Amino acid sequence: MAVTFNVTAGYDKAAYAQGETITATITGDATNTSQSVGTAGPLDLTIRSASGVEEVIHMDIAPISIETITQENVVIVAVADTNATPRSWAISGDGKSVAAVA
Amino acid sequence: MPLTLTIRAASGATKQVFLPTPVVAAPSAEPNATTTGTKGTLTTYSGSYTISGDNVLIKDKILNKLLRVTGRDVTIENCRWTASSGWGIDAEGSINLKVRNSTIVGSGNSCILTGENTLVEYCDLSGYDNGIMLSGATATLQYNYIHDLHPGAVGEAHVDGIQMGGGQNGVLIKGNSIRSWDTSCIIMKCDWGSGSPIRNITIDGNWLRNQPGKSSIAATIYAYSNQAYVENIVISNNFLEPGYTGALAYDTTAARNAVTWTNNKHITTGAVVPKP
Repeated sequence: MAVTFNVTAGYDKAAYAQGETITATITGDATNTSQSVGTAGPLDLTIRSASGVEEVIHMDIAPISIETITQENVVIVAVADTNATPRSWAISGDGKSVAAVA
Repeated sequence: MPLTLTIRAASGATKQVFLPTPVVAAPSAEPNATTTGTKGTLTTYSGSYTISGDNVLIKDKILNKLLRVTGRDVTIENCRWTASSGWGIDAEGSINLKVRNSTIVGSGNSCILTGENTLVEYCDLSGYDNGIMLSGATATLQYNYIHDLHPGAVGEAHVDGIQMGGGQNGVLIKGNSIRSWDTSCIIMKCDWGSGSPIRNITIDGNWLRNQPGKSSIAATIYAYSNQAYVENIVISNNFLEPGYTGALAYDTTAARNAVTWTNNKHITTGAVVPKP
């Protein structure tokens, strides 16, 4: 399984006045790519020429790789503010944003 | 990057996303009762008044007595005190306390006794002998409204807006409005022995004035070596109402020489105040 995050984060404003609520939101999702091993066949392919002659071609069972791609929801689970004067951030109920007082 | 968001996909995979520090405009006007203190609905605090644990958040509460803080990374936001027992917050021994947007009214020594690396910002502080007294070495005190201070029951008026008594090293006092009387708006005086100098203090962009209605006007800023020495005191871009000893009081030539005095203006006339 490989998970690729396609997520960006940004503030809702370029600058804030004191006392305003700062909101940082994430947008995007994650792509989960998983691979499993399966088999195909055996197959009998009947082929026919233009003149109407037919023949059966046999294909043995063969291993194949099955790739499954799933888009996944992404949420914020933690926030760390390492500013010299860090704020108290709260994660929204849907996990898509964090907010603090400017 | 100062803000790190840990995100998690439905499958459990996690990643960190980084954001720069949000830009918050510094107030361009003098702090007052409107721009500081609590806002919105508060509820009565029912927790312990002794905070020794770490990472504690007290928010949107009304407190009615001294809060003793000794823990690390305690945050107090949008709280209102009406305490009258020595201090509003006694944080001596704490580390990284943050007090924001809170109102402390009461009587006693000081609204806040700081710990190590205390942040006090956007607070409305009044009623005590002193607004903020520093016990730790470092602190950031910014955009507060400190006013209507008065001496306690003893009647010995030593009213100071912000008091440093020794051992401070790395303090930023920025953008505050301090109205004081009797003694000073900001006092740096090494009262706690020869081993406790006061060093690396920046006082920038404050409004320092006398408390209206008080005949005993304050010295604006004190820089007294007294028992030790003061060193690297930067006083810049302040609006000052010179008090009874002028805008800066000092006890020795060395103390005066320790002060870098830049672009300080008279609070009424706007005229540049030369270094006293």
